[in-house]
Amino acid sequence: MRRSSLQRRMALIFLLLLITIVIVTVVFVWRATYQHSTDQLQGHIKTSASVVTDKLTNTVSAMRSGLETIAKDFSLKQLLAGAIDDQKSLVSAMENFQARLETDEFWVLDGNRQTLVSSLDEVTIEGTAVDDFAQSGIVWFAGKDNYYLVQAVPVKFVESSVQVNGWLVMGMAASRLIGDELVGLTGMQISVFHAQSQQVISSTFSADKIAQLKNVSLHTETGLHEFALDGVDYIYGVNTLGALQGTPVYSVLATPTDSAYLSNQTLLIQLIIILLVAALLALVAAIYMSRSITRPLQDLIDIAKAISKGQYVGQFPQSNTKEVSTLTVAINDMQNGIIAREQEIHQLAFYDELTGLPNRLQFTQYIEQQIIQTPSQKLIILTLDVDRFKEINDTISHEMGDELLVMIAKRLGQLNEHQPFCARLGGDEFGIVFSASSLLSASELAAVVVALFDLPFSIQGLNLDIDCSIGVVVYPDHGRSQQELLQCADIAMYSCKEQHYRFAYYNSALNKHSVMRLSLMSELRGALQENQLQLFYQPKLSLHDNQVHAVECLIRWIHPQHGFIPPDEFIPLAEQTGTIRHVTHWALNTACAQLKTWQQAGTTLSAAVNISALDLVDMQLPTYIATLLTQYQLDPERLVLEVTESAVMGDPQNALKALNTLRSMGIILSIDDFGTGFSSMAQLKKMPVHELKIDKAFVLELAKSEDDQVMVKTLVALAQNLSLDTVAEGVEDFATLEFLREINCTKVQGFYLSKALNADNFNHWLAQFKAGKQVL
Amino acid sequence: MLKATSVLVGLLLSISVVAGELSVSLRQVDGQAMPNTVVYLTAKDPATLSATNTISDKSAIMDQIDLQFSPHILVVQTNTRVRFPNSDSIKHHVYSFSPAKTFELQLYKGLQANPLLFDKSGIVELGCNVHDWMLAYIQVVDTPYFGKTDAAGQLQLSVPDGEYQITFWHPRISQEEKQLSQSISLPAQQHFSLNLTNPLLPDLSQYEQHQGDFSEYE
Repeated sequence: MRRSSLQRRMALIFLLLLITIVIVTVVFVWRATYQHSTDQLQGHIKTSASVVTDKLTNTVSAMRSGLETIAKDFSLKQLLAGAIDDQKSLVSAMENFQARLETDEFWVLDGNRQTLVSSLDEVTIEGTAVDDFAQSGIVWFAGKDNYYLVQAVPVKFVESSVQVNGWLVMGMAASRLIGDELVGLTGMQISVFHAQSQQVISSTFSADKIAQLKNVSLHTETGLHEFALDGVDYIYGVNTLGALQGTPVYSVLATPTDSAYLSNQTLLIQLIIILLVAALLALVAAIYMSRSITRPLQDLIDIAKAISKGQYVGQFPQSNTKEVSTLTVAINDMQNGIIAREQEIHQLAFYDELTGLPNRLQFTQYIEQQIIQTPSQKLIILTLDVDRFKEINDTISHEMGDELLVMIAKRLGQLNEHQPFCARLGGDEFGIVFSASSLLSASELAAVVVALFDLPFSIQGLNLDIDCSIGVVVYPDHGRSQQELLQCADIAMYSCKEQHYRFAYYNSALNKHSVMRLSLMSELRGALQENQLQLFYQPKLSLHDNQVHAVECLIRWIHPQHGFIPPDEFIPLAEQTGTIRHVTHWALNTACAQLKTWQQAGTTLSAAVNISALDLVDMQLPTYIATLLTQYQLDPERLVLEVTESAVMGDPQNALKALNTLRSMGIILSIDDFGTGFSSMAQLKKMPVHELKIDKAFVLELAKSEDDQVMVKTLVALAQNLSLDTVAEGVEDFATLEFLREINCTKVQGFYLSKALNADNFNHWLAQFKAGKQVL
Repeated sequence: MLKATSVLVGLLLSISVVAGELSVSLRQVDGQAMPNTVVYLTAKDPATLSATNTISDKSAIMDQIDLQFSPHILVVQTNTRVRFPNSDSIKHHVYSFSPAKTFELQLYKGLQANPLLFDKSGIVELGCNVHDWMLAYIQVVDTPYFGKTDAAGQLQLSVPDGEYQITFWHPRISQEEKQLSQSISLPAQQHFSLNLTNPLLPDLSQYEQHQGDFSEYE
């Protein structure tokens, strides 16, 4: 649905209102004037009708009184009495009287109502008709071609006698009565109409219209009626006007409709014109008014749209309308609010709250912008990490740690002459960008930064010497994108930290290592499913009987692209990402399956699987192992779990709990890499383990190094005292083997016997070893 | 004079020979007496008729008193001379257009007009051209046996025996002819009474009241 504009709607409402007013006014005025005109016309017709009636009545009266006078005339009586002998004298006298009374026709009847003489021989008057004529009043008589207004009076020879001796009848032609004089008097067309015979007795209409009038069925009731004659509409009123042959005769007074309502219609037209002009003016006013409201609104709409696009508007439209100016103020306030909040958000988004330096987001954006704006310009990017910050935080307090960071930020401010862009990247890490416009080289700049930390930081009375590690990268030498550069800088920084330099340049060798590490992490789980991992088995020789009863399972990853990947490279990664659980489960499952295979083949071996510190705190591990033992129907002592010393020492309490559980299941437990992890004797004593594996660092040079000999001898003795077996790994020559045998070490493993072999090769090796072909 | 005497004697003789009294009574439809009505008997026997006709030379008076004719109704035998004196001090113009006697008399005060001979039977309606209200009737009858009823509607007539036609007339009576003119046989019917069955015509000018007692002029 299309929304109509306010302006259009207002104009429409105004227009509708005006039209309504105009129509109502016109209707009322028109009705009132119409009613008035109608009343007037009705009154006019009534008056006119009485004028006509009066005229005819007067004529009749005059005729009657004339006739009465004549009837009493003695000479007429004489002539009437002598009419039998002398008709001519009577006719002559009657003609004389007729001229005197200005009538048109006469009839003289005798006492028996037989016509004696008449001016119209062809028209005789019936005897009884005379009684009608004798009544005073308007009486019509139909002649041959003409109608007459007639009166009759009796003649008595002796006036007081009851005897009627004759009748005098006189008639006036209707056409003579109804004429222009009456039209002039009344202003109307007058017709005398005999309803019964549908005959027009007389009319002021033209002959054509009279002919048509005969066919009109007239409304004889009072009121106004209409008919059309010869294409002209007439309004007429009807009144009785005497009688003809005992049936009523009507006067029909008509006036053309046009002239009757002419003044009325003219008034109506004038009224409509006035109202239309008023409506037009009001409409213009309405449009002007609505514009004055909607224009500032439209301006405000534009402003609101501009604001929504993030453009800020300084100029607001002025309006004298209260609502609009309120809205203007509101939008202005809204814009100010938005600006304030945007700044706040910007501050939060792009600045570090603690130090007030730009944050990592702004730092990365800054680098991106610099690269985009001046791709050819060199950038020197430094990432700086405070050494031992965690320690500092833990030792003094977080508050003071924060204070230290603020002070570092302040010191970075001393670099201003080199126009740096400094940011806190998070935690104790800072970033600095120098553009190449700086006169100094990258290493000079790095040295300047390092120099900032020469003086100790004084925090709440404590003087702290703070070192930091700095990674340095140069755009575009070390990378072309911000991500690349920062990654490189981090790598450089960490290598710096490891190597304890003040700062370190990035080189690609560092990167290669890291990139592969990252990709391996993501591929490890896929590798588990795709059987890229294998278990290799390294035999452990029991020195007391020179037999192999045990193997250590070592994991091997044959990567489709990278080839063999040593466990040193991916196991720590797996530990970091938590994938180690899956690796361990896989290794346990594979080892158990192999044990089952060997068991079925009649070879009795136990297999040692390395588990990490994370596995040790995985509470599901014992359950999983129990499930495996059940599934493969293995004795628990066939399975040996090797745990590094450091894994146990990291979280001794939980490790103890786990080890106790596993031991209670009958599983053999072994401490791996023993001797490297600063194990406390007290804890070692509590450990529910069966054996110690002496780290190969002590064994590799055992034959030559007397220190190592002392160390290993001591360790073995210690284990013996604790009733623990000992396994020496890294045995590479016979001398070492013999030394270990002398000091009663329980088992040995190493390249001297065999390197780790896959299942097939191991079986082959074992078969040969048993056959005595393997020389010890 | 001699001639007149002989006629009178002859009349007296005839009366004396066949004299008989006839009593006539006339009543209106409501039972009231009908006065001032002309009653006359005409003999059916032609001899008797001719005998009666021979008697002539009679006279009567139609006077005008106080702008009225007097009497209102006068009955005379044919060939009676009627005088029209004028007792008023003003001029009258008496006329009649009745077929029985058409005349016109300008009567001035003190002027003695010649009597008029009424020789045709019939009703003569008299009017005055000067005074429209004046009206009188002279009934001219072809018989000597006539009279008018008195206030009691009674009339006594001496009529010789014989067969007659008895006729009643009054301007206000509107009755069928056969009722108003009936046969009568004398002396068999010495009492003849007639009761009108139709009401009287309206009295146009109250002539009866005007003139008071009719009998005054008998």
